[in-house]
Amino acid sequence: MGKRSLSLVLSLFGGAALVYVAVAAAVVGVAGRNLLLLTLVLPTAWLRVNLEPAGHLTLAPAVVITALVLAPPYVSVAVAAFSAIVSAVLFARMPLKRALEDAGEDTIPIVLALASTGALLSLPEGLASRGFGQQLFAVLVYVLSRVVLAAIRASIFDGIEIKTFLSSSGRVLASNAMLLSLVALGLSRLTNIYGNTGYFVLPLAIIALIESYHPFKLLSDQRSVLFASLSMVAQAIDLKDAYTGKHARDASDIAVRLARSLRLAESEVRKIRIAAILHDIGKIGVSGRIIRKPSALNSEEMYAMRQHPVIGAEIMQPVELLTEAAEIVRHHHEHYDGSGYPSGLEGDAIPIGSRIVLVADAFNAITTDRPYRKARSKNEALGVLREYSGKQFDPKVVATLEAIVAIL
Amino acid sequence: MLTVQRLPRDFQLFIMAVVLAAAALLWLFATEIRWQAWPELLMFMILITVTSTFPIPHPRGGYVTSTTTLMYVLLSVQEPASALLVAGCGYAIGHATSRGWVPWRTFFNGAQMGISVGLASLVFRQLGGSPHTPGVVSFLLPFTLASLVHQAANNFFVTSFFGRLRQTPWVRTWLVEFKDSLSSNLLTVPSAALLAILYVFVHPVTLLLYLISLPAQRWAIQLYLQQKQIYKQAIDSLVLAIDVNFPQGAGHSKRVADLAAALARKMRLPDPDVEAIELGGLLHDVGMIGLEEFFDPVNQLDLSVTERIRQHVLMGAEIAAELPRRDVSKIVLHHHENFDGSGYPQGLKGAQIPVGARIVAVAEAFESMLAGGFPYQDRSSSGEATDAIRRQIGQAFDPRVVDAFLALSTEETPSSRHGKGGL
Repeated sequence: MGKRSLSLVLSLFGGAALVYVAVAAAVVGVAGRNLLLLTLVLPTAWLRVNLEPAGHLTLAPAVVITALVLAPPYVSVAVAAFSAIVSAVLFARMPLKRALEDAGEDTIPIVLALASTGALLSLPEGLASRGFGQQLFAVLVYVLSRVVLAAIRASIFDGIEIKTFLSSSGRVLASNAMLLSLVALGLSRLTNIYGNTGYFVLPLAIIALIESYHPFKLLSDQRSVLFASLSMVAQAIDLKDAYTGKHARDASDIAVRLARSLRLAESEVRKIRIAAILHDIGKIGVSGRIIRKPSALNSEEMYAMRQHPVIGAEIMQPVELLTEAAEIVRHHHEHYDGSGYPSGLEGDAIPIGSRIVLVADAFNAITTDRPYRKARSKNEALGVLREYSGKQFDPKVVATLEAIVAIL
Repeated sequence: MLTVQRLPRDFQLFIMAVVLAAAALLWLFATEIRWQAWPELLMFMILITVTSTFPIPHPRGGYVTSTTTLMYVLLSVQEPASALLVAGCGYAIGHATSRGWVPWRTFFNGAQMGISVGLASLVFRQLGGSPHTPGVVSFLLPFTLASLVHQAANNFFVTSFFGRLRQTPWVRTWLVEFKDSLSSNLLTVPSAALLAILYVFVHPVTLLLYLISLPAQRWAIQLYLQQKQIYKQAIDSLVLAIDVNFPQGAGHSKRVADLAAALARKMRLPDPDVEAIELGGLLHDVGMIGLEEFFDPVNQLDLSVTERIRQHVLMGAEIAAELPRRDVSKIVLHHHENFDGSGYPQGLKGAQIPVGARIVAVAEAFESMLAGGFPYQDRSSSGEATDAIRRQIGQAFDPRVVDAFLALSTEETPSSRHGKGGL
């Protein structure tokens, strides 16, 4: 399945869920306690922790499962859909279309859980009357389908292998959903026994959960601030050249894609992402007059220009966060046949990251507008790369680019 | 390390008074302690000891302990006298194990914590609070008020301790301290309330479940602080590399950022704003990259060049807009506006200019005059530069910012603040 069709399926499901909720609410009516559950969507959606390499988690499962046990089926669907939309639109500033996809991804598991217990159409009161065993079964279905969906999405959208995803984000996602669901089962039990006391406890529990999850949110936000800042620095360097705006970030996205398709380890992918953003940082040490010179450079100017990978690596070397990416930057102008600079490395002696960055940067440069020429099509760009494959570029990397160019 | 012999006399009296007061209260109300509940009391004591031994770093600096949460549960589910005994002993033991055994300090810490918690517990009872009937009026309101009493008492003891030690006005420090710790204190109320209800309705052992989540939180916060530090270093050194090409020379942006942050703190702006202003100071001239040939002494500043230099704020603002914080980009955009409206790019006036931009304007002018770079031809001494800034009050610069600047430059050593909780 392609990126487009998955996105379409998810958003259609999300839209359908919203329609179902609206109709059901109009027919059955909304009780006061259900409104409380819907209000809790706001704080749970706020706590959005982005995971590496893909996916995110929120506290939504806690409220969704509580609703599953205590409220009519449409409320749990509503909670799942609303929390996904609120979280995406308000707190991650995504377009509505992406939010609808998220809503689809979050409602499918709860619908499956309801269907697995046969409660989808029949019960007006949720699973409260069923035994603990059935509730637990529904929770298992819910958690399992959530993780599977997230894995499919990561593999189709971000090119992450399912195995890699399951051993990183998937594990966190599963244990988080399981933990929150168990908390929710406990809370609903309390509510069943003590009535109003239970509903009084619910908001307190959500706030307490937010408090204990908050450090993880800070940590994940810090990561996105880091990449935003690095691409800001890259843009600043770009001012010396013809300013091309978001060029660095796009090149970095392509490089990450290539690295994943080449099945490199996630640690290597992280290095490549940083190196791709900052690869031209050494240009800061080269005079703007040389960088912008429209005619051919003389040998002295050429020497100065060819220093930029070395200067870049020297700037990055002492900085703890950037050290591991410095080698990739140093060699990002080496050619596969050994004719590049600064060291004239050849073939596999060039770090794989450098070979990837070179291809990603060239492809992105050809396909974006420059002051001196218009952007060319992806196919034309591929033609150029193919022509220099084995000379300037690593044939393996170019072949990989050809394989994934359709989804770039 | 402080020893009793070297401490001032009234300070010794203060410590003695607090410890004796705690002992007297304990003696008077010893009969009210429910000794049959000894397993619960023992559990509280162990938990309080453990949590106060392992402080959790706070994201905004300093340390917090989850002890406070436990204290609130304790004061609502136990008698005031029991709370005094358990809180005092637990806190003193935890404190002695983590910070070393100094008898007078350990006793004072235990005594002040015991009195604070006991007092708060008394207030909770008097207001009719009970965890057995959870509701807003019957539980949450008394609970919140009791937590405020605890915080006020704790801050009082700690600030008057330091006030006597450092000869600082402690009433003002007390109020400031109370205000500063108010939000973090109120944030612990919901989880403490939840734990108190679970304690009563489910089982006292639920407290242990809460304890399990603490190491993970501690790990995440430590990692966060570490990453933040690394990230700051990375940005600093990249900016340093960019700075080399500027006429004011390497380190200029960093110096402007430091001064701007100091001014913002002096003006008592909230922490997130200070952070944005520091970043804005660091990046204020980022749009200058690519213009370095204009600073070549061979080139004359003709009109088109001036125009291009004026454009650097637009470029810089666009670049800074990459950051998730919008206000940083605004600071970069407006740092050449003048207070009287004669600046660029938009000719904003007075309060229309973001406060961060007004601060960075003063910091940049001062640092540029010291460095003697563009547009100031000669180096000025610090006194000359200060005079030049004073002359421009109301014209280029915001009077409030200049006030803070003058106050900062006359100040010698900034007094350091201390954390919440203990000593």
